[in-house]
Amino acid sequence: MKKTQKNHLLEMNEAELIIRVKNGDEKAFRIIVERYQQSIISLCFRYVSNIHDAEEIAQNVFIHLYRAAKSYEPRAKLSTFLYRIAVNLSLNWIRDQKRKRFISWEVLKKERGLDPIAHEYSNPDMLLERKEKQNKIRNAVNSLPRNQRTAVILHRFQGLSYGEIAEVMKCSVSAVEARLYRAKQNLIKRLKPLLKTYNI
Amino acid sequence: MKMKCKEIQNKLCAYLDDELTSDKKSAMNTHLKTCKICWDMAETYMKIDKLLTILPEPPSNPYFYTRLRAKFPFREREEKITWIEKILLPISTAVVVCLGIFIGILVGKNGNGLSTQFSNESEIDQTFYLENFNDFPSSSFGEIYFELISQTESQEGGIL
Repeated sequence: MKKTQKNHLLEMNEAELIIRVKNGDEKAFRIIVERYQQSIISLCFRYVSNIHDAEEIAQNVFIHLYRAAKSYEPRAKLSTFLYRIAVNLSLNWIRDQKRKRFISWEVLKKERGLDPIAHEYSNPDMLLERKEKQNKIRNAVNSLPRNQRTAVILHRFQGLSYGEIAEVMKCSVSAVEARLYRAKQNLIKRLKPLLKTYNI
Repeated sequence: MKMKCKEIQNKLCAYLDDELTSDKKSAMNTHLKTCKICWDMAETYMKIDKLLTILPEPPSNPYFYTRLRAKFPFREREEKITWIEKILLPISTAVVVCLGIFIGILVGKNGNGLSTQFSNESEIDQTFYLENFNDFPSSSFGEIYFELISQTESQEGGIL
């Protein structure tokens, strides 16, 4: 009986689930969380580069959703709404961190251990080389202006179309196009040495 | 539709991301076939896209929801608690207090009557089984001894 009810909830669309969340249905909320948690964590991770902080921000995103459920109007897609909150919270987090300017060595060590690709590289030189490359790319993305970085993250890592990015960023499709173009120009400048040695 | 290099390069991202209309796309195709500069630019853009895929994906956390739930009190539970707190608890407390006062008055009334009901002390002892709290069992040597002592003490006190 319980299983069939869960299956029924799983098949529900976003609007129906939100209505249930509005009425305090925790199961519906859980389904929404499970449906979007990985993409939201992934999005936050692109901004903060730390899995623990990314999860913390993602939790706050879902808390925001639960609190806003009563007043939520399904004009836009739920994913757009969640992405928007995630982007704003991540940018706020970066702003707060800039004030603190503190990096814990323990956290950094843990982060290095968390890289799933690291286990595939048995050769330490190759692993180190890859790590360096990743750091360069990450730094290049992080050094982009806020709007360009958001556009790149939403498009490249989250796989959103230009139209969806425009909805999240509350701008026109042509503005998204321009931001991505400028972002690529900046990335080319910053990653020039890597591009020379990289073949596709 | 003929397009210039500058225009082509501005639209290259959208072209590679398949975000252009079909006629714009075909115009881009024809230009890229003949223009080496724009072709090289397209290749660089593709390299950048490929480079970005090197960045690792974060691992998934199976305890994410459990942690979220622990952090966040759900409205369902909140509402139940507030309903109990607001209505049921004050009412039940008031009822218990009233009941306590009523029983207290009742016991108080009965307590006043004790002295009139039982004039003899031994009668009270027997009624409320206070004998059980005596140090010696009834009609034992100890009890007889202490009874005698107490009798002599009272007699002496009476003489004095």
